[in-house]
Amino acid sequence: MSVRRDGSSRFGPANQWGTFPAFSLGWRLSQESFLQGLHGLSDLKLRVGYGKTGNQSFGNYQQFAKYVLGDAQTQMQFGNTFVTTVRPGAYNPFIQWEGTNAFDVGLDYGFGGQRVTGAIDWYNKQTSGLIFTVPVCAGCGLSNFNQQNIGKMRNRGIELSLNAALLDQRKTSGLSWNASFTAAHNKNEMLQIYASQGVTRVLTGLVAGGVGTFIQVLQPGQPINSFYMLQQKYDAQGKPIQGSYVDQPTVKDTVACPASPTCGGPGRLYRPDGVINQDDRRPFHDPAPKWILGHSSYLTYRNFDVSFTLRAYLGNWVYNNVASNLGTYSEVTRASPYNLHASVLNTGFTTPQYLSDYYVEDASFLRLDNITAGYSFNYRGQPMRITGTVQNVFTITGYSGVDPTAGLNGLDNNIYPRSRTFTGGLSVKF
Amino acid sequence: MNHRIHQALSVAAALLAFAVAACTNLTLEPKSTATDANIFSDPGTYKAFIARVYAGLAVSGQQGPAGNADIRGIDEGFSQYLRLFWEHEELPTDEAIIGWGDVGLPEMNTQQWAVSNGFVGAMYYRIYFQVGMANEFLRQTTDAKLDSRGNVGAALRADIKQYRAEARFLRALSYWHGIDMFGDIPLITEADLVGVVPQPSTRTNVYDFIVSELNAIIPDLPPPGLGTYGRASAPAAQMLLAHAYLNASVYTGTAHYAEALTAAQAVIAGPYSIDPSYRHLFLADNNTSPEIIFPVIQDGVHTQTWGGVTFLVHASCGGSMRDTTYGISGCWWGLRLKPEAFNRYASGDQRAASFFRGTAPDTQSVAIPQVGTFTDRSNRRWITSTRCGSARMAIRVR
Repeated sequence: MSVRRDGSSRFGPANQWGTFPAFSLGWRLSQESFLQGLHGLSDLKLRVGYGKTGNQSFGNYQQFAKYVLGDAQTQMQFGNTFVTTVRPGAYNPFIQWEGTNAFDVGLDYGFGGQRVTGAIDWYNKQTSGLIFTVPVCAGCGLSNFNQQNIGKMRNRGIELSLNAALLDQRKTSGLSWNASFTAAHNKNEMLQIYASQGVTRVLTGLVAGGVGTFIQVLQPGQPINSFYMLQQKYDAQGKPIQGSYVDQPTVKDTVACPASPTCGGPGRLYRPDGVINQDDRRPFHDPAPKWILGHSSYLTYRNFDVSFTLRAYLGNWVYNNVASNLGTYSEVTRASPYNLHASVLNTGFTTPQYLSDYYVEDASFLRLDNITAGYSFNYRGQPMRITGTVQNVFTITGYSGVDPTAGLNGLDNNIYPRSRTFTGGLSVKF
Repeated sequence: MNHRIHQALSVAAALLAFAVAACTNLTLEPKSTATDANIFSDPGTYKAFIARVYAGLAVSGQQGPAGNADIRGIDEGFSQYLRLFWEHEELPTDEAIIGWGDVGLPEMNTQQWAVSNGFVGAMYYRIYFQVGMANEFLRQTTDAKLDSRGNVGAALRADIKQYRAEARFLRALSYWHGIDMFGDIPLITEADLVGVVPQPSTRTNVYDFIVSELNAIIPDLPPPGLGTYGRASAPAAQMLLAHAYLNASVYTGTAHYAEALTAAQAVIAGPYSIDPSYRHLFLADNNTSPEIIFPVIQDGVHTQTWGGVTFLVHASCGGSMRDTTYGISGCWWGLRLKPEAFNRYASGDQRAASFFRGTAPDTQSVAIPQVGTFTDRSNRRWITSTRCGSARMAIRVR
């Protein structure tokens, strides 16, 4: 159990101090008399923990306007002299701690004399005062972006791990196999955007190519950085139709409308407004993986050994910005033409359609991150070992970009494939 | 042994006490970073700051021609004030058209912009960037602040009095652009704290603010003929006032033509006159023109941007025009004069000659069948302005 009180000069004058208590409780069930009869069980421990932590990992002196001198090419002429300028930067005198309340219930277990060990955890973390660099209202500050405490979010999930000595016959057949498995599931949800922001949603995710086009959103009830797209319409051949999107039911009627083509459906209060615009965008998947699975193995057979690591992400979606930016024929007709992205062969777009959900793809993948094989032997009394390693062995994915893990926060602007590395080694001990 | 533990403990306690004492004072102002807490110890900062408020019309960041941008979320060159202002004033009209396909630009040509249009949004942010800079200048130069710094002498105080009037002039200028283009907009003054969401206001309120501000600052600005080139003078404020009054019926529903006339006459009584050579207004030595009341000065060496006149000169060059003819380092193939504007000139009108038609066989047509087709040289359907050639341009307060 602990309590700490931290102060940080990064925050506004009234909000510099935060109190962060924590406690944890463990109960080793396996040592209780009522579990003594179970011979296979070697360890069982129940853990309960709660803690509040504060995050201040952003720039210094947010409460002060930082003054930046202009260079010799941005001077202003007053009469016959040129004056070097100085500009105050955006500041936020109200910024305060981002705090996370974390609650965790866990179970550590071991069987067969700790030959099989692992843990199961369930957690619920609520973060308030979430700090984001977001567009701010015109006139709210000295620039159009600033760091703000914008709202609350929640992460809930489970984590499972299992380590096992699956085979241990070193002394008999010479074969051994140790393996570990991990699985983590997380569900993220934006809970609230503070009323002080003056908006109900905050746009993030600035795409390359657009002129200030944001394609992600922080919106209560949705995972953070959900894509915020127009729903693409497709023709009979399954090709997206340029500029044709689903008109979402956004107009609220006072009474439920009867069944009619213009109505959102019988008994529905909302109907489409007949115009495709900003209002027809909707949250559509998010970049965070729903499941992260991992597996690593270490095998030995006499003098040979092999180890490898497998990793899988499930349910992580990516906006293919390379395709949306360059997959349009306007790239070749403009004054300085550029290479086209192959997606244009399917879409036939002649102008960029940055907001189409066509470009939001499921980037789930399975990757063999690395594999190492080695052979140990003695040569003229010297212990030696030969190894071979391959990094990034293969990736199985349905994602159309070159690397499903390249998208930082869900925006993929990467045009270079991940390199595959082969390494050979010989180690000699003297 | 026991003694040594005591010693260690007392040292630790002393260190802890020191640490607590040292780290709990969070009101220390930064020393290594230039902030409002320390930068005004240099009296030159006031001039540099007001120069920056002016520079908001001319450059896009603290590095020229681009770098350390004032506003984000848009290409920095696109975000320059004068460039956006010109695009908003001209592209939706029958005068000019732009041939580029950047998202949001074609909609400017065809009056189809929506709330998400990045250019319209950037113009709005630019206006409030100017307002924010002016407000911050006014907050940092109150009598109380100047007294507390203790390094502001009488001469500097007199300068600052004029700087404050200039900041208010520039704020009024941007507010005028704001109500002219956007209608009802929030009114934010130096009394409003940074970080607080502003309350909505009305076009009428902001109009009233502009008029009262301009009337209040005219005595603090240099009288006709005594101003410094590049800085606001009393006639500049009068001219802006005349423009605001002239459109008062649009902004508020109440006409103020008599006041517009009075303000305009105050300007006319000064040392200004129509330049006998229209072309002179667009040449590099236009600082000698008697027609310009308030210039936004650009300079090829000292004041660089991808917006401003760099944009106007380069973007209106293309087709069979040669960059070397106009003294520039490349044509951008962007701006074109619409036939509707060109055809307004009766045949024989001298002014039509200032637009590029080319010489046979490299003539360019008046009609524009394809906005984006600049590569179609064989058809030579291109016409543009010969306003290229000036490295510097001034806008009149219009």
